[in-house]
Amino acid sequence: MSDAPAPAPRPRPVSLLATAGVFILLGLFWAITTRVYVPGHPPAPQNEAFDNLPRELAWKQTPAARRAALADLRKAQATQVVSYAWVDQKAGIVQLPVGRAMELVVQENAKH
Amino acid sequence: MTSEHSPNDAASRWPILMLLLAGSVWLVVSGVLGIIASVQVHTPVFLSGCPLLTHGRVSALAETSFVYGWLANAGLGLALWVLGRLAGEPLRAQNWALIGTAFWNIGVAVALAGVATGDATGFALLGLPRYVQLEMIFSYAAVALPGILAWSGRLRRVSFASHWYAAAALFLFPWLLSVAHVVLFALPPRGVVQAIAAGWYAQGAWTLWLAPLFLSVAYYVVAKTTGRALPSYEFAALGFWCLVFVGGLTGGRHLVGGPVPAWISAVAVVSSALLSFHVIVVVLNLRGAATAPGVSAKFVAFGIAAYALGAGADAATSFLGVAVKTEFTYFDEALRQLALYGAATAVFLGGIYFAVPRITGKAWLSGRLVRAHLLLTFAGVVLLVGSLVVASLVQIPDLLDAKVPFAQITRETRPWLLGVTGALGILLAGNIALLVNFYATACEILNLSKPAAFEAPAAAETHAS
Repeated sequence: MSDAPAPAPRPRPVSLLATAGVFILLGLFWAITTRVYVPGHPPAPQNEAFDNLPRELAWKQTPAARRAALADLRKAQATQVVSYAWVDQKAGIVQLPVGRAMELVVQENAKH
Repeated sequence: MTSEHSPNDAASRWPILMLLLAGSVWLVVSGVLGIIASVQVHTPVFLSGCPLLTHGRVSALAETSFVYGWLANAGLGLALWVLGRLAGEPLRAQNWALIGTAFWNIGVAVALAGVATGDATGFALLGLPRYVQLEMIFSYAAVALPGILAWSGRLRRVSFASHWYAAAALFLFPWLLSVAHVVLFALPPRGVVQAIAAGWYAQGAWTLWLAPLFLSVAYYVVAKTTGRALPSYEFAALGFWCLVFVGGLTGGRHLVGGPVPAWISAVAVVSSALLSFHVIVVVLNLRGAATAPGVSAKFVAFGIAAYALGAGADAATSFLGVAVKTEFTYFDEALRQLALYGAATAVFLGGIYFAVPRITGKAWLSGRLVRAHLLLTFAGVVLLVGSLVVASLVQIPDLLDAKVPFAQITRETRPWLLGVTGALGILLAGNIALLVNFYATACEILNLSKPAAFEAPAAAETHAS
């Protein structure tokens, strides 16, 4: 008799049908959820498209328009927080970069 | 049950080793992220200047890598091993498991990148961004395929508790994630319904996915290490069906007192109490782990004790009179860590220390590292959960007193939060020991000068003194 270890057994082959069957079985949950839940469900407020909005609220009309408006707002804010500008020239109110404003607040409070 | 010397282990080892190794790597990654998040709780300036590592993102990163990186990989790997062994033949369709493992872990990595760049969902235990969820359901199905084939095509007609729990976990997770994806992301409902659906997923992920995975491992390891029939085994089926039917109804447990219909939280409270029956059966069946020899049995015994303690505390604190005091404190976090770390992780570690010598045919390279990991895990979990419980006890009277400023509560809990960071450091050290030992042991089977030959598993296993 040989001392060589017996070769490891080979797995039984699997039919393509059985493989597909398991995937279909696990995908059934997804299919049932989308078939049963989605059709009779109203869209969430954030996904609704509004009609007859006044011109100044046109940016709310579709999700894409809302995303574009948000992107514009964030771009404007990003510029605003790092730049100087007049807020009210007559009243002497200015806009400062946030970093500089923080320095001034620290200096102001250090005096007390 | 199958023979201790199973050549089927060698024939099925690659997908299992790949899953376990990936899980061990994610365990260390989540440990590092968890420490960063923990430090930021008591020292908020830590890494606060780095947008990728702000506290909200790091804590979501730590949870996602822990649940979907470590627990999922380790649980799936051990479930495949248990189902393969009980089938009495090598795992079939292993290539699907290898592909699924690769894509699952790519999905986790993409999810972490998404969370770090601001795509976190904000839902507990479901930090996965929307765009990776379908890919992960498909990957999970591919990994589960060999397990389902091993279960449905087993050579013996008889089935065991390990079978039931592993097969249930393989089937139920795609259901949970499919429903959560459709309900929370594809077509999100209005207002409070989102909180109800998110609570259902979080509790379901624990009771219907993670708990069955680690109970499958626990039932197998305890039966093997004690070498005897499990006591009160005739109740095991009742315990299983109790978990399957009642576990999914505990979803409103964290919504007690919230703006949800009263029946939702009432059903959840009753279901949490009903789950005590399942826990009693599990403890009765697996009590032999406490006296069984070996590191694996000690990990499993610790995990089952943590599971029972956590379930008892969960049921007790779900009642309105207690919940109004404990909710929004560190007590919920303590229960979560007790479940995820004390129960699931401990049992999975026990399973890994039991399975790897049998899969590789090699003893653990360093018995000292194994024993060190055991001690560090026990010490770390006790310190972690203990610190969080004490912090919550400090919080409770202060939060109920409107005159106490929030800054004072923060100051009073800080020493215990430092303890949490220390505990996470201890756990990370133990997990690094596991990764090094595991990697070195797994690499031994690639050493051609010493071909893999199955040693007696009892000799290959490390025993803690």
